[in-house]
Formats: sequence, C-alpha cells, structure tokens
Amino acid sequence: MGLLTIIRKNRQKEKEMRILFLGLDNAGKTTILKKLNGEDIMSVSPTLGFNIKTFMHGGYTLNIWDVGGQRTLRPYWRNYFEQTDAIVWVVDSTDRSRMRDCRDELHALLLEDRLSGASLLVFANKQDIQGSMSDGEIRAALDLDSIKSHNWRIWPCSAVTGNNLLTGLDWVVNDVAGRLYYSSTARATGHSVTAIVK
Amino acid sequence: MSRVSRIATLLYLYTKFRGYKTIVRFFPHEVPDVTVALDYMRMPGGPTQDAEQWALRYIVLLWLSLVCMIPFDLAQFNDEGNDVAAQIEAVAEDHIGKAGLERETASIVLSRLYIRKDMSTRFPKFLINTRSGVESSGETFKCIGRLKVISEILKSGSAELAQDNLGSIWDIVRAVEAREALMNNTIVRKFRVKVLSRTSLRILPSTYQAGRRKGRALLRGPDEEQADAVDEDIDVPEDVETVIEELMQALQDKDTVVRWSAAKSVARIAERLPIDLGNQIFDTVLDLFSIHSMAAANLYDLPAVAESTWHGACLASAEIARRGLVADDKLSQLVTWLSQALSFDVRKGSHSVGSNVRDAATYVLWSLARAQSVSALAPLAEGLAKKLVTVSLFDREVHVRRAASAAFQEYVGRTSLFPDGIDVLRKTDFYAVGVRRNAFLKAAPEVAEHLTYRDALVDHLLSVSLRHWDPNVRQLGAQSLEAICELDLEALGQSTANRASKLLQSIDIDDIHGALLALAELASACNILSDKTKCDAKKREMFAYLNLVPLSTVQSSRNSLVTSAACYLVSTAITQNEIHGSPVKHWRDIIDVGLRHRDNAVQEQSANALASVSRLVDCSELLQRYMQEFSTGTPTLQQSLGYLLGSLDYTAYGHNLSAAIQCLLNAVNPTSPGRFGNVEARRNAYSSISRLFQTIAPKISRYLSAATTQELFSALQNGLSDYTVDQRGDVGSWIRIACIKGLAEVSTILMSNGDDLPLMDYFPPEVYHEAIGGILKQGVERLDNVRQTSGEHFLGLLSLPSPSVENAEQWRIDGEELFKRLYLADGEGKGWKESSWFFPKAVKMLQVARYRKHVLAGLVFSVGSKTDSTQRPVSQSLVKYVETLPTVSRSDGEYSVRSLLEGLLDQVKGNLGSNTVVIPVLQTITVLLEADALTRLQNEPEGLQSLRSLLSIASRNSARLKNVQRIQETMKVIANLLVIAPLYSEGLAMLPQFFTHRFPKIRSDTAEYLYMILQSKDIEVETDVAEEILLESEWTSGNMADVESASARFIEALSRD
Repeated sequence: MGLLTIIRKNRQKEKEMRILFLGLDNAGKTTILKKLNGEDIMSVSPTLGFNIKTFMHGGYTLNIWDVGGQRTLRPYWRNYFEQTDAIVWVVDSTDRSRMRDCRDELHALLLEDRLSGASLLVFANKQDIQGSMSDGEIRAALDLDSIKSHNWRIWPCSAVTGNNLLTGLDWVVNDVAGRLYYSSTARATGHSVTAIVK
Repeated sequence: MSRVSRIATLLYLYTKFRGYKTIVRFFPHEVPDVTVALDYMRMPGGPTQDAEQWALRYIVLLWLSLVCMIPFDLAQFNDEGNDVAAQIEAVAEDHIGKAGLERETASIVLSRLYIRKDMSTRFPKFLINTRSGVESSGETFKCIGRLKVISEILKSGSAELAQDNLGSIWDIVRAVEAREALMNNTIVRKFRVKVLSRTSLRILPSTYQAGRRKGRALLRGPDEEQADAVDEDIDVPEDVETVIEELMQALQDKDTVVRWSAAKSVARIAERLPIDLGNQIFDTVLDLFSIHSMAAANLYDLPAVAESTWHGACLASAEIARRGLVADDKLSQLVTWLSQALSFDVRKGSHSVGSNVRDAATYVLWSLARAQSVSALAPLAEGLAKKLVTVSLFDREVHVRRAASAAFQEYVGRTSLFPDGIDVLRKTDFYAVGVRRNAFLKAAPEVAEHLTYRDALVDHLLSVSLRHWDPNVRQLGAQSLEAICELDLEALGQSTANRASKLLQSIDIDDIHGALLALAELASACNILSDKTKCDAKKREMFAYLNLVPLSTVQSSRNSLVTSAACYLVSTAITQNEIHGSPVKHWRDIIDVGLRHRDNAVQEQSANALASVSRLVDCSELLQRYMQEFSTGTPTLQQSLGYLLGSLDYTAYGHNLSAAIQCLLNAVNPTSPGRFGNVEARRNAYSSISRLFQTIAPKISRYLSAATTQELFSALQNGLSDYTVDQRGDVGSWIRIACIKGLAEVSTILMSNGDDLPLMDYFPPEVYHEAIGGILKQGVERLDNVRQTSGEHFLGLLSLPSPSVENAEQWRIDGEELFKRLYLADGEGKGWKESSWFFPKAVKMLQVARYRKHVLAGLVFSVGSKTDSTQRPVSQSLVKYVETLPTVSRSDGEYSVRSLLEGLLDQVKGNLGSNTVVIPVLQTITVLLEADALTRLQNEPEGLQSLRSLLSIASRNSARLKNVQRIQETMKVIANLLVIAPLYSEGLAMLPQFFTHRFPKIRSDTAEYLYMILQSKDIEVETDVAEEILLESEWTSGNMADVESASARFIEALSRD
C-alpha cells in the first residue's frame, strides 16, 4: 500500500458523505427524502426501523440514514451515530405542543461525542400548512442560538411543495465538503467554514 | 453449487471489491429479517453448515450485522423461551474462532450487537471470556476475532460503553502481550495497536477539534494560536502517554500493516492533544529517523532493519502532516530527513530494501502540499521540486516514480511554487514515468531542458544511478546521462566525464562499470558535433580515462560487466589517433580479453569494438591470426569467432573477406573437418552470414561472386536440418531459428537490390522457393518459438514487393492469395506459436503444390512429437482437413487423400532404415486410420493400391526391427488396416509375430491395442471370442508355448472362413 493506493482511496472517498436524518415522529423525514429522491410521497407511512438511501447531489454521493422518530425508537438513534458527517433535524412546524420535546431531544443529541464536528441542518418542515410556526419562531423555540458546538443553519421548507429542500441540502453538503478528511478542496472552502464559526 | 451459494459468492466478490460497508447498505433490513437471517444460520444441516460454503456464512453474518441495528428491543422477538439476543450472540461466537473469512463478519455482528444499548450489559461478560480465552488456550484466530470486536466497538460504540470497560480491555491487551505465540502474529499485533489507540481516543475529550485544527493551520495568526492553547488546557491521562510510547515502538514493527495502524493512531491521538503535546509527539517521530543514522556514516551504510523504522516514521509524519499538525518551524527538519528517505535504498544480499520508505516519503510530501501553508513551504520549494523530479524520473520502481510524480503534481496544483511546474509535470506525468526506459531516456532529457532541474538530474545520475546495485539501472543511467549532455555538450560533456571518471578509482566494481558505461555513452554523444577534429579530440579525452582501469581489473574473472563496458568504451571512443599511438597502452589487450571471454555478451561487445577498429585500419593480419587460433580453439573461442566474423566492416577495408567467408562456411559445413562442434558457435556463424550481407549491401556484386552468394545461401538452407540434441534439449532449434532469420533477411537484401545484380545468377528462383519451403516446414513444426519466428519472417517475405528485374513473377511465392487469406485477412493474427489457432490454418497450406512436400514433412514431425500442445491440435486439424479432400485426384494436380498417403509413403521409401523418418510417418498414418480418414480409399482401385503398398511398406522386415516404438507403430498400422476388407486376411496373418514377439511389452501392447480396435471398429466378423482371448490370456508370460497357443486361438477366432 503506497501513495498511489492512498490517492485512489482518497478519490473514492472525497466525494462521499454520511448524513443522518432525525427528528420527532411525523416530522416528515422520510417524505423529505422521497421528495428529494423524486419518489412518490403519497404512500409514506411511519418508519418502523430505518431506511438507507444513496443518491448523488452536487457531485457528492450522499449516504443517508433515516431512522424512525417514535418515542420508543429514539433510544436506538445512538446505534447510527458512527462516522456521521451531518445531521438533518426535521421539525414539524405545525406541532406547537411538542416543540419543547423537540428541543430537548435535539440538545441531548448534540452532547454525543460521536457527533461532534458534524454539521447540523434544521428543516422547519410543513411551511405549506397554514398556521405553521415561522423559522424564526422555531429557532427561538429550539434555542438554536445556544448551540456553539456545531455548525448549524435553519431553513423553512415544505416536503410537499419541495420548497427550500435543495437549498438546505446544498448548504449542508457544502458545509461538510469543506471539512471532509479526504477532501481535496478543503483549503479552498476551509476559510468560509472558520468564518462561520468565528 | 446451489443458487444461494452462487449469489453469496457474487456478493462476497462485491464486498471484496467495494468494501463491505458499501455493499451492506443494499441489504434488506426489515423487522422480519432478523428471524429469517438468524434461523438460516441456525438451521440444522442447512447450507451454512457445509464447510465449503464460507462465502454464504460470510454474507449471511454480514446481513445479520445489519439487521441487528433495528431500533427495537430484541426481547420483543423472544417466544417460547427463545432468547433471540443470546442466539445471535451464540451464532457469532460459533464463527469467531474460524480460520476462514466468516470470522470477520462474525466480529462485526458481535460489535453491532454490543453497541446496542439494550445489549451493552453483555459486553463485560464477553470481555471476561476473551481474557480467560487468551490466558488459557491463546487460540490465535479466536483472539483475532475478539480483538476485532473490541476495536470495532471502540470505534463506533458510545463513549460510556468504552469508558466503563476500559479496565477489562487493558487487561486483555496485557494478557495478549504476555503470550509470545500471539504476539508473533501480525494480525494480532495490528489489532493490539488499534485497540490501544482507540481506547486512548475514547479517554481524550473530543470537542469541536477537527474544524478548529484546520482553522489553525489555515489562519496562522499568533493571537488565534494562543486562544486555542488556552481552551485546550486539558490533562492528558497517564494511560495515554503509555499508549503513545507503545505506538512509537509499533511504528518500527517488522510488518507493514502494524506500522500503518500505528501511524494512523499516532496522528489521530496527536490531533486530539493540545498543540504543544502534539508537537512533542511529532518530535518523537522525527527522532525515529536518527536511531539508526547515528552509527552510519551515510545513508548507504544503514542496517537493513532501519527500513522498518524509517518507513514507520515516514508514515506517521505523513498522517500527522495530512491533518495539518506540523508546525512551520519543524518543516525544514522534516524535509531534510525526507530528502534522505527519498533515496533510501539499502543493499541486503543481492537485492535491496527501501522502496516502501521512498514511497512513504512521497506520501509525506504529498500531505504537506495539501495541508501546509504556501508561505511556509516557499523557502523549501525549489529543493523539493528537484528532489521529487529526480525520484519520479530515476527511481528503479515504477510505483515510487509514479508516487513522486503524484506528489509533484500536488505541489504544482496547490502551491504553484515549483519552477516551470506545469511544463515539467506534463513531461513527468503518470504515464510518462510508467516505463523505466521512457522515464530515463525520454522524459529525463525533456525535463533537463529546464535549466533549474538540469544539474540536479545530472548529479543524481552520477552519484546514484551510475552506482546503483541493479546493472540495468546503471545502463539506463549512462544512456540518460548521454541524452541530457547532448543538450549542451560543450558545457556538460567535459565536466560530466570528469566526474564520472572519479568513479573509476572506486573499489566497488559496480561504480567502475557505471562510469565506463557513462564515458562510452558520452563518447558516442560526441558524434553529434559537426566539427570532426573537435569530436575526435573529445573522444580522445574519454578514451584516455581507460588508463584508470588496469588490465587486471578487466581480466578478473567475475568482472564480466566491466570487461564488456570497457570494450564498449573502446568501440565508441576509438579514433584514428589511437591506432597509431595511444596513451592507453592496453586497449588492444582489452579487446583481446573480451574476445576470449566466456560470456556471450562480452564477446559481442568486444567484437563491436574490433568492428569500430576495422573502420579505421585494415585488420587482415589480426583477423587471420584470430581465425587460425580460434577456429580450432575451445568452444568459447569458436563462439566468439562466429560472432566476430559477421561484425567487422568489410567495406572500409577488405580485411581478407574471402578468407572470412571460407572460415564461416567451414564452420557450418557438416562434412568439413573444421566444422564447429559447439552449437552456439555454429549459431553465431549462421547469424554472421546474414549480418555479412547487411554490411556489404547494397554493393553486393563488388564483394561477392554469384557462386559465393549461392554457397552462403545454401549453407543457411542446410542449417534448417540441424536437429542437434544435447542435455539442454533441442539446441538445434537455436540454429534453425538463426537460419530462418538469415534466409529471410538475405532473400530480402538480394531481392531489393535486384536491379544491381544479375539476380538470376546470384539468386535463382528455385533457390528462393526451396528456402520458402524450408521456412514453412519449420513453421509447422513442434516448437512454439521456431514456428513464431518462421511465421514472422514468412509473412515479411510474403508482403515483399517483386524485385525490379525481368520475369519478376518467378520470385513470387506460390499460393500467395491463400496465404494472405489465411494469415493476414483476420486483422490481428495471433501468431504461429498459438497452436490451436494456427494448425487448422496450417494444414490448408498443403493445397500449395510447390511447398507441399515441406509442409507435409513438418506436419508429420509435429504429429510424431511428444509435445501435447502441438501434437493434439495438429492431429485434429489434419484429420479434419483430410475429410474435406476428394478420395482420388480427378484432375491433374488436384490434391486428394490418395496423394496425401502417397506423399507420406514417399517420405518413407528409401529411408526404411531410419527410425527418425519412419516412426513419425507411421504415427501420422495411425492418427488418420484411427479417425477413419483413410477408410474410403478402398472404394477406388488406385486408392486400394495405395493402402496395399502401405501395408507392405509397414510390414517390410518387421521381424528384424529392434526399436520398440517402431515395432509398436508398425503393429498399430497393421491392426488398423484390418478394417479394410480386402486386406483383412493379409493383415491378420501378420499379427502373430507381434503376439509372440520376444519383447513382453510388445505382446501385451498388441493385445491391448487390438482389443481397442475390436471394440471401436466394425470388422464384419464376430469378435466376442477373440476379445475373450485377448482379455484372458497372460501375454507377458514367460511360457512362450502358452503365448503361442493363445495367439493361434485368436487368429482362429477371427478367421473369416
């Protein structure tokens, strides 16, 4: 195994990232994924277990792990933490009553050392439904501004209309790309990452 | 193989190709899959229990490891007292000690299982078992499997799971270390390193480190560094320090995989530590370089064990550098070590070690290019550029050249610091440096056009390549030096030669060899000078350096490379001045030593030297002396003479050409007393004949008469029948190959100079066609390489234009259309050495009447050969071909089965005494008879006549034969002819002589063969009784009365009346 093998492995891995989709049940994680992947979203039922989706986005191969959000499943989320580059936290913007629950789960998640350094994208889903909370309200409700340990960003979106889904994904992919161990472009984007942190 | 196991094998191959992590994502992972996968593994007597189905077990266990991840309590699956979790654990435990690959996926299953929060309580128990297993039995595979579980969990599991069990894990590591047998295993040591380092990583806090580190490397503001240092003020546990120490040891492990793991671990730990501790680690790594360097005066004196240390140190530096952890002020120290590592090459016996060190050094440089700031690298850039270019051009190993080229590319792309970077990169890219020859001879001179790099290249060639342990590298180095110096001979020639000549005084014979080669190449470079006097003056300087090499060195018995190189220098540097008075007194002796040398390569080189002399002065006298002495001398001297006679330049001076020709003809003439007994000597003489023609062309008629030309040509023709065999095998084939080449080359020369000659006299068409026939005969014979040579040269002649003389069509090859269709039509011919491709085509050449006799003789010879790869395809092809022929010829010249048989019999007639002629023919006939290819001859009167004469020729004098093989073949022909009804009784009557032969082997073989015939052929007689007799009788019995009575009964049983 010499330099050429290392470079070959690098080529293979520099364009790959692992993203974990989490959030409370009925937030729309699987629906967002299906919409992103161009699948039918009418037949989505609660996820019992987990899904693994692989697709290309912006020149990167995304390995997306989508785990069910029911209360009974949440203790098992930690089985999926390894080697995670980014977390996509999906919020049901209409579910005002469980916002506190949602905040607690998110903040508990961020304490996990295996997720340290991962980028965090918060999707404020279901913006197409009238009376949903705005991204600003959710930002406050989830106390996002207190998060210092992760690079984060919140996007209002709708899985049904597809609004902002790609924009959000673009952000998270770019954010991770600047930091990948194998990345060949780390130097170029590294500055912007630090700039955001500062 | 069942479908499921085929699928498993396919999936396994996918995992091998892409890694299991990629493949496992595509496996199903629904809730019901848990029981499906588990039950399948547990099925009593199921396919997974079959020892051969390791791939199936591997894949099902891999599947189980995925479905283990379902986010439900495993207890939900329990029914009727079944504990699913325990069952999964038990299944994986069953395979964790296996020697096969299923061990690996079993480990993954267990690690996945214990990572689950509801299962983590089982992990301590597992650790206890592991420890007691190591302490009691210490089974290697079980230990490997279990260590893998632990290292997986430490990597992917939660921090608590690791931290809670840290004590037990340390204990296991210590227990493993205590067992020498385990520590001798590479994989065990690798996992030990992984476990050790991952435990440390779990102890160390991991906050938002990775991103911040990058920030430090990128924004090197002093304020930020301080700010970082402040929040990184952590306590480093003592355990971690111990681990770091052990990792430093592991970096020097004798096995690469262990060093690799250790290197990655060191870097990962350094990444987690505060900056100053990280720097300390890096300092320790740098210290590794000096461990072995203290005692050694220079890089070449390092002990071979230094290889592991240097390799480990390079890998660790690379991993640390890749993470951007190398402080800028350490950079120059690191680069100094790396420059040495890039030329790390330590001789060990007859080979050397260190290519992996050089490769790893390029890895460090590559990493630095990616992670280090441009301004920090800038002061080092030019040195690095030169070093990397020399390595990418002149390393002996292709992977190192390519790695250096990749590192160079990284600098060019990321830093733009390298002078002329893009231009140079284009000349030294992945493909350009892929072939050593191309790198040395094409890419290097191109790079040398850039003045920045030229001196570094010349330096490296003089100080490393010319002194390299591999003679091929020395040779290429010398040639490369020549090519570079040609760019500016005025400036470079003198000084380079001067420096190379310093090596001539070395005590190392390799240095002397390299220097002589370099001087020789430089001397030949002088030929580009247009000014003849200047050129001669320079050559004289080179020539004078020969004085530094005493004759004793040239003569010394094991210095054949030096002898050859000295002769080479004479051949390229000699000028008119040396002939009449040279400062080098011993140059004639050098040539003489070379000519008398045992080694063929040296002989050739010294002959070339004398050839150079022969262009400057008449050598008749010298040649006369050598011919007299060598032609009757030892085989070695004869070989040398054979080569020499073809080398001299007879056009500048005559050198008594006619005597030389006479000497060559005598050397190869089978009836001459002066014939060379040695095969190689004869081969050289034959080659010399064709080289002679090349030398004197195109003015052939000025030097040779028509009679001499024909004589030389027929000597080559006769050489085709040299079938000398000695303990080395068919050595005559070397001669035949030389003659095939010679015939083709001389024919080409004569025909293309046809307008200059009375071609009819010098090269009558019949002589040419005889040569073509001879080449074709060789082309269908047994040896692949002989066939290949024949094929290449025959096709060359086939596409030759007609000579520009009257009646040129007489020199056209007969059947040209057929040959072109056979061999040139289907684009990429495979070559005549591919017997299964070639023979089906080759037998069709029998169509061409003019060469038929030759081709048939060659084919017969191949059928009779013992080489299976030739014998089988040729026999099958011949039978198939004969089936397409008409029985007898309807028109004149039409080829038929009968004419084929007659052709075969013609070969035998008059040669009945020669077994070497008769046996292959009989074998060929037997092949045809066994395949029933000749049977239909009996339907035609003249066909039957031929069969009858076959029987009489085969059986003639059969009672007096002594050669066992000949008797067997005769018997087989007669037995096969029983099928021909009109010859039945006659043939039958001949059988008793074989049944009652005085050789028991013949008796039993006859019985066996006849049984086969009776079983497979229809002879229109009831054969049961006869077969019974064949089986029941004791044919090898010493009691001849019994044998005779059995024979009589057999004949009786088969009699028609």
